Amino acid sequence: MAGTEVWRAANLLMRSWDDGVIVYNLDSGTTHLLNPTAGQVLYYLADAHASVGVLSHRLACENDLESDEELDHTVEDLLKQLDSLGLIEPVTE
Amino acid sequence: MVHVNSPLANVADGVQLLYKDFPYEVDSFADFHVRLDRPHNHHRLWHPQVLCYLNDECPFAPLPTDQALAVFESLLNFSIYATIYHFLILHAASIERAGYTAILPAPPGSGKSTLCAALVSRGWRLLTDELTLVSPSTGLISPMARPISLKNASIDVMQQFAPQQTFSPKVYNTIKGTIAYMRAPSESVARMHETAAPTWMIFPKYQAGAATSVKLLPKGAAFIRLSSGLVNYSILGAVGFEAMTQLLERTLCYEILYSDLDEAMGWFDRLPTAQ
Repeated sequence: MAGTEVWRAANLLMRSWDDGVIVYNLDSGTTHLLNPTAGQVLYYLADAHASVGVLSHRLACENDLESDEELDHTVEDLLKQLDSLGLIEPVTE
Repeated sequence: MVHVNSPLANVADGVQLLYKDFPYEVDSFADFHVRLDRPHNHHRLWHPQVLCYLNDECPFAPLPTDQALAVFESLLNFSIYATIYHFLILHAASIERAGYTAILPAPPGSGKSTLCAALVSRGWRLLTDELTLVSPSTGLISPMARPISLKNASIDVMQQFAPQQTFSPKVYNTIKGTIAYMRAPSESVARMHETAAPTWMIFPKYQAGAATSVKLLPKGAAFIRLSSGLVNYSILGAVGFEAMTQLLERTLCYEILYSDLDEAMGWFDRLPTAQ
Protein backbone atom coordinates (compact mmCIF):
# COMPACT_ATOMS: atom_id res chain seq x y z
CA MET A 1 0.00 0.00 0.00
CA ALA A 2 1.48 3.34 -1.05
CA GLY A 3 2.18 5.91 1.70
CA THR A 4 -0.48 8.58 2.10
CA GLU A 5 1.90 11.29 3.21
CA VAL A 6 1.81 14.33 0.92
CA TRP A 7 5.05 15.94 -0.21
CA ARG A 8 6.14 19.21 -1.75
CA ALA A 9 9.34 20.44 -3.33
CA ALA A 10 11.64 22.64 -1.25
CA ASN A 11 12.60 26.12 -2.46
CA LEU A 12 14.40 25.00 -5.64
CA LEU A 13 15.65 26.08 -9.03
CA MET A 14 15.91 23.34 -11.67
CA ARG A 15 17.27 22.90 -15.17
CA SER A 16 16.84 19.78 -17.23
CA TRP A 17 19.56 18.45 -19.55
CA ASP A 18 20.11 15.15 -21.38
CA ASP A 19 22.02 13.56 -18.51
CA GLY A 20 19.65 14.64 -15.76
CA VAL A 21 18.28 17.55 -13.83
CA ILE A 22 20.46 20.08 -12.02
CA VAL A 23 18.78 21.25 -8.83
CA TYR A 24 19.79 24.24 -6.74
CA ASN A 25 18.37 24.51 -3.23
CA LEU A 26 17.86 28.20 -2.57
CA ASP A 27 17.70 27.68 1.18
CA SER A 28 20.79 25.53 1.68
CA GLY A 29 22.85 26.67 -1.34
CA THR A 30 23.53 23.05 -2.35
CA THR A 31 23.50 21.78 -5.93
CA HIS A 32 22.61 18.23 -7.04
CA LEU A 33 22.52 16.35 -10.32
CA LEU A 34 19.55 13.97 -10.35
CA ASN A 35 18.90 11.23 -12.88
CA PRO A 36 16.09 12.09 -15.32
CA THR A 37 13.42 10.06 -13.46
CA ALA A 38 14.20 11.57 -10.06
CA GLY A 39 14.19 14.96 -11.74
CA GLN A 40 10.79 14.22 -13.28
CA VAL A 41 9.34 13.41 -9.84
CA LEU A 42 10.81 16.60 -8.42
CA TYR A 43 9.22 18.60 -11.26
CA TYR A 44 5.86 16.98 -10.38
CA LEU A 45 6.27 18.09 -6.77
CA ALA A 46 7.24 21.58 -7.87
CA ASP A 47 3.97 21.65 -9.87
CA ALA A 48 1.76 20.45 -7.02
CA HIS A 49 1.85 18.70 -3.66
CA ALA A 50 1.42 14.94 -4.10
CA SER A 51 1.46 11.57 -2.36
CA VAL A 52 3.39 8.47 -3.44
CA GLY A 53 0.28 7.09 -5.14
CA VAL A 54 -0.33 10.23 -7.19
CA LEU A 55 3.33 10.49 -8.20
CA SER A 56 3.52 6.82 -9.08
CA HIS A 57 0.37 7.03 -11.21
CA ARG A 58 1.61 10.12 -13.08
CA LEU A 59 5.02 8.56 -13.64
CA ALA A 60 3.40 5.40 -15.02
CA CYS A 61 1.11 7.32 -17.37
CA GLU A 62 3.84 9.56 -18.77
CA ASN A 63 6.44 6.84 -19.21
CA ASP A 64 4.23 3.95 -20.34
CA LEU A 65 4.93 1.94 -17.18
CA GLU A 66 2.83 -0.51 -15.18
CA SER A 67 1.32 1.31 -12.20
CA ASP A 68 1.80 -1.32 -9.52
CA GLU A 69 3.04 -1.84 -5.98
CA GLU A 70 6.64 -2.23 -7.16
CA LEU A 71 6.58 1.21 -8.75
CA ASP A 72 5.01 2.62 -5.56
CA HIS A 73 7.94 1.19 -3.54
CA THR A 74 10.46 2.63 -5.99
CA VAL A 75 8.85 6.06 -5.73
CA GLU A 76 8.69 5.75 -1.94
CA ASP A 77 12.44 4.99 -1.81
CA LEU A 78 13.12 7.89 -4.14
CA LEU A 79 11.15 10.27 -1.92
CA LYS A 80 13.17 9.12 1.10
CA GLN A 81 16.36 9.99 -0.77
CA LEU A 82 15.04 13.35 -1.94
CA ASP A 83 13.94 14.08 1.62
CA SER A 84 17.37 13.19 3.01
CA LEU A 85 18.92 15.62 0.50
CA GLY A 86 16.56 18.34 1.69
CA LEU A 87 14.93 18.65 -1.73
CA ILE A 88 11.39 17.81 -0.61
CA GLU A 89 9.44 18.14 2.61
CA PRO A 90 6.21 16.69 3.97
CA VAL A 91 3.13 18.88 3.84
CA THR A 92 1.95 19.17 7.42
CA GLU A 93 -1.07 21.47 7.30
CA MET B 1 42.35 49.62 -11.01
CA VAL B 2 44.74 48.63 -8.22
CA HIS B 3 46.76 50.92 -6.00
CA VAL B 4 50.07 49.25 -5.05
CA ASN B 5 52.28 50.41 -2.24
CA SER B 6 55.49 48.60 -1.27
CA PRO B 7 59.06 49.43 -0.29
CA LEU B 8 60.20 45.94 -1.41
CA ALA B 9 62.47 45.87 -4.45
CA ASN B 10 61.31 42.42 -5.63
CA VAL B 11 57.69 43.64 -5.69
CA ALA B 12 58.63 46.77 -7.65
CA ASP B 13 60.80 44.79 -10.08
CA GLY B 14 58.14 42.10 -10.52
CA VAL B 15 55.32 44.58 -11.14
CA GLN B 16 57.47 46.52 -13.58
CA LEU B 17 58.36 43.34 -15.47
CA LEU B 18 54.98 41.60 -15.49
CA TYR B 19 52.68 44.61 -15.86
CA LYS B 20 54.86 46.56 -18.30
CA ASP B 21 52.02 47.02 -20.81
CA PHE B 22 49.34 47.97 -18.28
CA PRO B 23 48.32 51.63 -18.05
CA TYR B 24 49.30 53.31 -14.81
CA GLU B 25 48.34 56.50 -13.09
CA VAL B 26 49.47 58.19 -9.93
CA ASP B 27 46.95 59.20 -7.25
CA SER B 28 43.89 58.08 -9.23
CA PHE B 29 40.81 56.19 -8.02
CA ALA B 30 41.52 52.53 -7.20
CA ASP B 31 39.20 49.52 -6.72
CA PHE B 32 41.73 47.89 -4.38
CA HIS B 33 44.50 49.26 -2.23
CA VAL B 34 47.20 46.65 -1.69
CA ARG B 35 50.29 47.12 0.40
CA LEU B 36 53.22 44.80 0.92
CA ASP B 37 55.45 45.83 3.77
CA ARG B 38 58.09 44.63 6.19
CA PRO B 39 56.82 43.85 9.70
CA HIS B 40 58.02 46.37 12.25
CA ASN B 41 59.53 43.93 14.72
CA HIS B 42 62.97 42.50 15.44
CA HIS B 43 62.11 39.21 13.69
CA ARG B 44 62.93 40.83 10.33
CA LEU B 45 66.59 41.08 11.32
CA TRP B 46 67.21 37.34 10.87
CA HIS B 47 64.14 36.16 8.89
CA PRO B 48 63.01 39.00 6.60
CA GLN B 49 59.28 38.77 6.07
CA VAL B 50 56.55 40.40 4.06
CA LEU B 51 53.14 41.41 5.37
CA CYS B 52 50.36 42.11 2.93
CA TYR B 53 47.33 44.34 3.29
CA LEU B 54 44.14 44.69 1.29
CA ASN B 55 42.45 48.01 2.09
CA ASP B 56 44.41 48.04 5.39
CA GLU B 57 43.22 44.54 6.40
CA CYS B 58 45.92 41.86 6.64
CA PRO B 59 44.40 38.63 5.24
CA PHE B 60 47.50 36.38 5.22
CA ALA B 61 50.17 35.39 7.72
CA PRO B 62 53.67 36.87 7.15
CA LEU B 63 55.80 35.05 4.58
CA PRO B 64 59.51 35.22 3.66
CA THR B 65 60.39 38.40 1.78
CA ASP B 66 61.76 36.50 -1.20
CA GLN B 67 58.20 35.22 -1.83
CA ALA B 68 56.82 38.77 -2.04
CA LEU B 69 55.97 38.59 -5.75
CA ALA B 70 53.92 35.42 -5.24
CA VAL B 71 52.28 37.06 -2.22
CA PHE B 72 51.41 40.07 -4.38
CA GLU B 73 49.76 37.91 -7.05
CA SER B 74 47.87 35.89 -4.41
CA LEU B 75 46.72 39.13 -2.82
CA LEU B 76 45.36 40.37 -6.16
CA ASN B 77 43.44 37.09 -6.57
CA PHE B 78 42.12 37.43 -3.04
CA SER B 79 41.12 41.06 -3.73
CA ILE B 80 39.00 39.88 -6.63
CA TYR B 81 37.25 36.90 -5.10
CA ALA B 82 36.73 38.52 -1.71
CA THR B 83 35.25 41.77 -2.94
CA ILE B 84 33.67 41.31 -6.38
CA TYR B 85 30.10 40.07 -6.36
CA HIS B 86 28.70 41.36 -9.64
CA PHE B 87 30.46 38.60 -11.63
CA LEU B 88 30.25 34.83 -11.46
CA ILE B 89 33.87 33.93 -10.70
CA LEU B 90 35.21 30.60 -11.97
CA HIS B 91 38.57 29.15 -11.02
CA ALA B 92 39.50 28.83 -14.67
CA ALA B 93 41.69 30.14 -17.46
CA SER B 94 40.07 31.67 -20.55
CA ILE B 95 41.48 32.22 -24.03
CA GLU B 96 40.00 33.59 -27.24
CA ARG B 97 40.80 33.40 -30.93
CA ALA B 98 38.84 34.75 -33.89
CA GLY B 99 35.83 35.38 -31.70
CA TYR B 100 35.75 31.86 -30.21
CA THR B 101 36.43 31.55 -26.51
CA ALA B 102 37.48 28.54 -24.48
CA ILE B 103 37.12 28.40 -20.71
CA LEU B 104 39.55 25.97 -19.05
CA PRO B 105 38.34 25.14 -15.55
CA ALA B 106 40.54 22.77 -13.63
CA PRO B 107 41.93 22.04 -10.19
CA PRO B 108 45.63 22.70 -9.43
CA GLY B 109 47.91 20.13 -11.06
CA SER B 110 45.70 19.65 -14.11
CA GLY B 111 48.09 21.47 -16.45
CA LYS B 112 45.62 24.30 -17.01
CA SER B 113 48.14 27.13 -16.79
CA THR B 114 50.76 25.29 -18.88
CA LEU B 115 48.23 24.69 -21.64
CA CYS B 116 46.97 28.26 -21.37
CA ALA B 117 50.53 29.66 -21.57
CA ALA B 118 51.32 27.45 -24.57
CA LEU B 119 48.16 28.49 -26.42
CA VAL B 120 48.64 32.21 -25.85
CA SER B 121 52.23 31.79 -27.07
CA ARG B 122 50.74 30.45 -30.32
CA GLY B 123 48.27 33.21 -31.10
CA TRP B 124 45.34 32.79 -28.71
CA ARG B 125 44.41 35.91 -26.75
CA LEU B 126 44.82 35.60 -23.00
CA LEU B 127 41.69 36.65 -21.18
CA THR B 128 42.73 35.29 -17.80
CA ASP B 129 44.80 32.49 -16.31
CA GLU B 130 43.36 32.05 -12.83
CA LEU B 131 39.96 33.68 -12.29
CA THR B 132 37.37 33.95 -15.05
CA LEU B 133 34.80 36.71 -14.51
CA VAL B 134 31.44 36.06 -16.20
CA SER B 135 28.75 38.73 -16.21
CA PRO B 136 25.44 37.20 -15.04
CA SER B 137 23.49 39.72 -17.14
CA THR B 138 25.33 39.39 -20.47
CA GLY B 139 27.15 36.04 -20.12
CA LEU B 140 30.32 37.73 -21.39
CA ILE B 141 33.80 37.29 -19.92
CA SER B 142 35.66 40.40 -18.74
CA PRO B 143 39.38 39.84 -19.43
CA MET B 144 42.14 40.72 -16.98
CA ALA B 145 45.26 39.64 -18.92
CA ARG B 146 47.27 39.27 -15.74
CA PRO B 147 50.44 37.14 -15.73
CA ILE B 148 50.16 33.36 -16.04
CA SER B 149 51.23 31.50 -12.92
CA LEU B 150 53.45 28.51 -13.73
CA LYS B 151 54.46 25.96 -11.16
CA ASN B 152 57.35 23.55 -10.70
CA ALA B 153 58.25 21.52 -13.83
CA SER B 154 55.97 23.56 -16.08
CA ILE B 155 58.23 26.63 -15.63
CA ASP B 156 61.15 25.03 -17.50
CA VAL B 157 58.75 23.42 -19.99
CA MET B 158 57.32 26.82 -20.92
CA GLN B 159 60.67 28.61 -20.93
CA GLN B 160 61.86 26.09 -23.53
CA PHE B 161 58.57 26.03 -25.41
CA ALA B 162 58.15 29.81 -25.67
CA PRO B 163 61.55 31.47 -25.13
CA GLN B 164 60.21 34.65 -26.76
CA GLN B 165 57.93 35.23 -23.77
CA THR B 166 58.96 37.11 -20.63
CA PHE B 167 59.18 35.21 -17.35
CA SER B 168 59.65 36.45 -13.81
CA PRO B 169 62.43 35.07 -11.59
CA LYS B 170 61.45 31.83 -9.85
CA VAL B 171 59.93 32.10 -6.39
CA TYR B 172 60.98 29.07 -4.34
CA ASN B 173 59.45 27.18 -1.40
CA THR B 174 55.95 28.60 -1.65
CA ILE B 175 52.98 26.54 -0.46
CA LYS B 176 52.55 25.47 -4.12
CA GLY B 177 56.26 24.74 -4.67
CA THR B 178 58.30 26.85 -7.09
CA ILE B 179 56.36 29.52 -8.96
CA ALA B 180 57.26 31.78 -11.87
CA TYR B 181 55.02 34.10 -13.89
CA MET B 182 54.77 34.53 -17.63
CA ARG B 183 53.87 38.03 -18.74
CA ALA B 184 50.67 38.33 -20.78
CA PRO B 185 51.36 39.09 -24.44
CA SER B 186 51.14 42.82 -25.19
CA GLU B 187 48.21 42.33 -27.57
CA SER B 188 46.17 40.59 -24.86
CA VAL B 189 46.80 43.50 -22.50
CA ALA B 190 45.94 46.04 -25.21
CA ARG B 191 42.58 44.26 -25.73
CA MET B 192 41.75 43.66 -22.07
CA HIS B 193 38.65 45.86 -22.29
CA GLU B 194 37.15 43.66 -25.06
CA THR B 195 34.73 41.20 -23.49
CA ALA B 196 34.41 37.70 -24.95
CA ALA B 197 31.48 35.33 -25.46
CA PRO B 198 32.17 31.77 -24.22
CA THR B 199 32.11 29.04 -26.89
CA TRP B 200 33.63 25.99 -25.18
CA MET B 201 34.08 24.72 -21.65
CA ILE B 202 37.15 22.47 -21.76
CA PHE B 203 38.37 20.55 -18.72
CA PRO B 204 42.08 19.77 -19.26
CA LYS B 205 43.88 16.99 -17.44
CA TYR B 206 47.60 16.44 -17.79
CA GLN B 207 48.74 12.86 -17.17
CA ALA B 208 52.34 11.85 -17.88
CA GLY B 209 52.52 9.38 -20.76
CA ALA B 210 48.82 9.57 -21.63
CA ALA B 211 47.73 9.55 -25.25
CA THR B 212 45.65 12.59 -26.16
CA SER B 213 41.97 11.79 -25.82
CA VAL B 214 38.90 13.99 -25.88
CA LYS B 215 35.34 13.33 -24.88
CA LEU B 216 32.21 15.41 -24.97
CA LEU B 217 30.83 16.07 -21.49
CA PRO B 218 27.08 16.21 -20.87
CA LYS B 219 26.02 19.53 -19.39
CA GLY B 220 24.74 18.20 -16.07
CA ALA B 221 28.07 16.46 -15.37
CA ALA B 222 29.93 19.58 -16.53
CA PHE B 223 27.87 21.70 -14.12
CA ILE B 224 28.81 19.51 -11.16
CA ARG B 225 32.51 19.53 -12.12
CA LEU B 226 32.46 23.26 -12.65
CA SER B 227 30.69 23.96 -9.38
CA SER B 228 33.68 22.64 -7.39
CA GLY B 229 35.78 25.47 -8.86
CA LEU B 230 33.30 28.26 -8.35
CA VAL B 231 34.45 31.03 -6.10
CA ASN B 232 31.26 32.96 -5.30
CA TYR B 233 28.45 30.77 -6.68
CA SER B 234 26.82 30.15 -3.31
CA ILE B 235 27.02 33.85 -2.43
CA LEU B 236 25.26 34.81 -5.66
CA GLY B 237 22.44 32.30 -5.00
CA ALA B 238 19.75 32.27 -7.71
CA VAL B 239 21.73 34.73 -9.86
CA GLY B 240 24.74 32.40 -9.76
CA PHE B 241 22.64 29.35 -10.68
CA GLU B 242 21.05 31.14 -13.63
CA ALA B 243 24.44 32.44 -14.78
CA MET B 244 25.87 28.93 -14.61
CA THR B 245 23.02 27.29 -16.51
CA GLN B 246 23.11 29.97 -19.21
CA LEU B 247 26.88 29.62 -19.49
CA LEU B 248 26.58 25.85 -19.98
CA GLU B 249 23.74 26.19 -22.47
CA ARG B 250 25.90 28.47 -24.60
CA THR B 251 28.98 26.24 -24.55
CA LEU B 252 30.06 22.82 -25.77
CA CYS B 253 31.77 20.95 -22.94
CA TYR B 254 34.79 18.68 -23.38
CA GLU B 255 37.36 16.88 -21.31
CA ILE B 256 40.85 16.56 -22.78
CA LEU B 257 43.42 14.17 -21.36
CA TYR B 258 46.93 14.89 -22.62
CA SER B 259 50.64 14.57 -22.04
CA ASP B 260 51.94 15.97 -25.34
CA LEU B 261 51.53 19.74 -25.40
CA ASP B 262 51.79 19.98 -29.21
CA GLU B 263 49.06 17.36 -29.70
CA ALA B 264 46.76 19.09 -27.24
CA MET B 265 47.36 22.44 -28.92
CA GLY B 266 46.67 20.87 -32.30
CA TRP B 267 43.25 19.81 -31.03
CA PHE B 268 42.55 23.35 -29.80
CA ASP B 269 43.61 24.74 -33.16
CA ARG B 270 41.08 22.54 -34.94
CA LEU B 271 38.21 23.52 -32.63
CA PRO B 272 36.68 26.40 -34.61
CA THR B 273 36.42 24.38 -37.82
CA ALA B 274 34.75 21.58 -35.85
CA GLN B 275 31.87 23.90 -34.95
